[in-house]
Amino acid sequence: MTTPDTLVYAIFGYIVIFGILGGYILRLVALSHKNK
Amino acid sequence: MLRILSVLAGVLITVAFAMVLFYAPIELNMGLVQKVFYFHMAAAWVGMLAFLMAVIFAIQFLRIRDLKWDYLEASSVEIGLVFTLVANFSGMIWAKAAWNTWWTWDPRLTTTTIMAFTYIAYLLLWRGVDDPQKRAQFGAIYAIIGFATVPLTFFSARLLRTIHPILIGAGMDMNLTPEMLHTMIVSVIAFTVLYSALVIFRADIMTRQEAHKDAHLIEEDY
Repeated sequence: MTTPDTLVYAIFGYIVIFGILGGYILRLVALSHKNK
Repeated sequence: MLRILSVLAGVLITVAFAMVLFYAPIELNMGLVQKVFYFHMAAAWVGMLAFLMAVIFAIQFLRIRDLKWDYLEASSVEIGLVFTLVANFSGMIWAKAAWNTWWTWDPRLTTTTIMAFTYIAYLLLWRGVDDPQKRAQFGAIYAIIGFATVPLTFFSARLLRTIHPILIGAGMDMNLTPEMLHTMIVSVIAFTVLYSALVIFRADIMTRQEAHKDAHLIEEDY
C-alpha cells in the first residue's frame, strides 16, 4: 500500500476516534445543561 | 476534581497526539495507518478497565446499598462501551489497510463484539427498570456476571488462533521501537485520565437526572 493510501486511512481513523469521543462529550455537556 | 481531571486529560491527549504525529516513527510495513494503533490500543484498554471498574462499583453497591455506586457503575459501563466502539471502529479502519478487509470473524473481533453487545444489553435493561433499588441490584449482578466477557476478549488473542496482533505478554508480535512504546504509554495514560473525568461527570449527571425525576414525581403526587 502506498503512503497516500495509508494517510487517508490514518486520517479517517482519527476522525472516527475523536468524532465518537467528541460526540459523546458534547452529549454529556448537553445533558448536564438540561439537568442543572 | 472534575475540572483538574478534564484539563489534565486535554493536555495529555494533545501531548499524545503530538507524539503520534512528530515523535513516533512511521512503521515500515503498514505506513501511516499504523499511527491509528496508539489510540486504538488506548481505547481498547480503557474499555476493559471501565468494565472492571463497573464490577468494583457493583460490589460496593451490594455492600453499602448506596445508589451513588449504582450511578458510578452504570456510568462506567456506558463510557466503557463508548471506548469499545472507538476501538472497534478504529480497528476496522486499520484492518482495511492491513488485512484488506473491514471485518473478519477472527476470535478477538468476535469476542469484542460479544462483549460490546453484553454491555449494550446492560444499558437497555438498566434503563428499563423504574425502581432505583431494584435497578441498582439488577445492574450490580449483571455487571459482575457480564464481566466474564472481558477476560474472554483479553485472552482470545492469546489462547486461540488469531490474526490480531498481540501486544502484551507471551507471544508479543509487534516489535515496537522505544519511541512507539513511549507514545503508546502516553496515549493509554491520556485516555485513562479522560475516563476518570468522564465517569465522575456522567455519574454526577445521573444523580441530578434522578433528583429531577423524583421532584417531578412528587409534583405529580400533589
